[in-house]
Amino acid sequence: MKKFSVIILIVLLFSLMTGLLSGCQPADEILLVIDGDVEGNILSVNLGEIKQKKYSYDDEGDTVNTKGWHISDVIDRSKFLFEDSLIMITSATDGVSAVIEGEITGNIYIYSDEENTLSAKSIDYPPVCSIKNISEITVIAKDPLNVGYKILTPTATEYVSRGNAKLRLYEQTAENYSGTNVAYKYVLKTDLSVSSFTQKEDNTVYFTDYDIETETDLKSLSWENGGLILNLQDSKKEVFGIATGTHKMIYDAYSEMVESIDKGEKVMFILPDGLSWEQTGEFSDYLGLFKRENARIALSTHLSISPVALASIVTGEPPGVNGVFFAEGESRAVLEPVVSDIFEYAVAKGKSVSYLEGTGNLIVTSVDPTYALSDEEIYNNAKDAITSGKDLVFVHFHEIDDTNHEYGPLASQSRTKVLYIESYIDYLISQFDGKVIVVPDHGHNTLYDSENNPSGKHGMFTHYDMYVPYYVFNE
Amino acid sequence: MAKKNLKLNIPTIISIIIVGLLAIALAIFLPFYLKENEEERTLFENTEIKIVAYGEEIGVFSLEEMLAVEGVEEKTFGAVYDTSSSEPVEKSYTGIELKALLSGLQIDLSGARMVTFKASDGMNKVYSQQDVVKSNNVYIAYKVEGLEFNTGIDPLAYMKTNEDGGPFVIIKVEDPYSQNRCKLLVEIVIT
Repeated sequence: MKKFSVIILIVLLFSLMTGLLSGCQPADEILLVIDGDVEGNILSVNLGEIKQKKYSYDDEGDTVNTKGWHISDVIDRSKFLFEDSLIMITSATDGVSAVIEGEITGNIYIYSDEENTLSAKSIDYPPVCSIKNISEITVIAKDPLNVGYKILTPTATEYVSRGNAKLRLYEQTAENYSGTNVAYKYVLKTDLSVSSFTQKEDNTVYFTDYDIETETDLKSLSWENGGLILNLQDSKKEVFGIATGTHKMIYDAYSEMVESIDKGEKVMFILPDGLSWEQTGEFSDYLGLFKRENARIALSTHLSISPVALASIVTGEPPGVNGVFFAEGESRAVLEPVVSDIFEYAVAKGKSVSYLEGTGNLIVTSVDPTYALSDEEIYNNAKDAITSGKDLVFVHFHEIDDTNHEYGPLASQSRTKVLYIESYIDYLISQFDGKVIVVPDHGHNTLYDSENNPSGKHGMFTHYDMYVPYYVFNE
Repeated sequence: MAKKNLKLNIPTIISIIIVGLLAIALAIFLPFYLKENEEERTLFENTEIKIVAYGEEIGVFSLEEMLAVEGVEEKTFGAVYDTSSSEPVEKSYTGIELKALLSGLQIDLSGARMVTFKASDGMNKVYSQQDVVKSNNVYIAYKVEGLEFNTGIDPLAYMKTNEDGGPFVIIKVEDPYSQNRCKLLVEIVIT
């Protein structure tokens, strides 16, 4: 009897374990991607969790009775960012897509075929909606507001929502009706170049991994995993944003410094922190040296904050390569670039170096900076460095940025500060026997508080903080 | 002598297996846990601040040694904590006033131009002599809201009460945006 009880107990335990293990097994997953203008940018809907519905259709005179997932039940699993949206069903086979109103007024069913691919069957929408081998369903907001990718020009920041970004890669080839239900047929454009996408020239693409690619006009874009991808020669990179109108980068200054050092010439780099392209336009009546006609327009890094931009200038590499970058809002540690800097280069060439900073260092450099408590003190240190005949003088003025932050970049206080620093630089150039490169690290946005008081902010990837003047004197 | 017949029933066997498994898990993970705690304790205990004045090294001081300097006392003070990810908030800090420490070490600040604070991660911050000689302004802080600072730089520190950058953080009370702090403080240089 005892033996029998033990056997029963073992069987029960085994059954319990088997039951528990099988309970942990996920239900069959049939995943369909919804992306575009939805919360979270992309989600995978498990159709296995949605109840299938019976439907029938006519197949050359025969009535076919089958079942599938109603498109409303599927897209209801996502949350639209904007109520008034379109739905784009895209084929993975050839990119052919059907675009319909987001508010579904008829029947389209998603079904899984014998090859386990998902396809759509249109019942009372135009036949173009019967897309085979669906890659994703994309939600496209009709009137999106300030979401998605930013495309910058020197005078404007344009937002293209993710759904609309995908749509820009397609062109409409037909408009079909079935009763009151309308569907538009879209196919991939033949020209998927960046310049076709932005309708602008001189495109610079910023990536989500903080790398930057200039001269991308003819490079092609694609839509993968719910995002824009730039196709490079050996790789693909996810796009963060695009700036247009110039290929000049603030970190081009590195190669200019190298060029002077290699020629055996002295070179001075001056960084007026926070001086924006916008300020050179707004203050043009007051400016001398900083007038726009003396400058080229250049782009900052993303994030357009001092440690990141400074690291790119002293290394000649974008943040994704030099290793100094931060996620938005991340605590800003003092980081050391993973590549060598201009000071190391100059010292290796037997040159004397003077790196003049303000009240602290923003990154770890190969040469320790000389610190100062004010821009006036930095100015005096720069004069000393010139007098002592240094080969490379690197000067970082901070107070334009400080004033921009406090009063806003277009405030009269900021204008006064810009003119002060301009006068310092003017004198330093007159005293220096060599090339002088003047490049700010970033620009500034004007923000207003609840009482309409302006202040300045940067690091937002707008035309205000990304475009800066780039000057070269005594060439 | 009759041999005792030891019989185990099923619940006893299961209990023995569970206890055995727990013992194995404990044996595996306990050394890791102890090592981790030992490293943290060592990190804090070994942290000292070097003080250099006018080119001469004055000494290397632990918190205990700094508190033992004549005229130095633990103080609680308020300062604004503000990051790019959070709104400014007034917090309560515990620390020692730098002016009192330097005075107790017989360092005359009247001829100083600036004070440089150096951190273990390579950061340097410079304050003016006027900032340091001002009363209740510059502190070597070691607690925030009664808690020690977390060690290292934590990207999500703004979400936590005890912040990052410990054991020692230089705080200037007059600093309105807390951007002039020096975390991970290891050296003070008076020039």
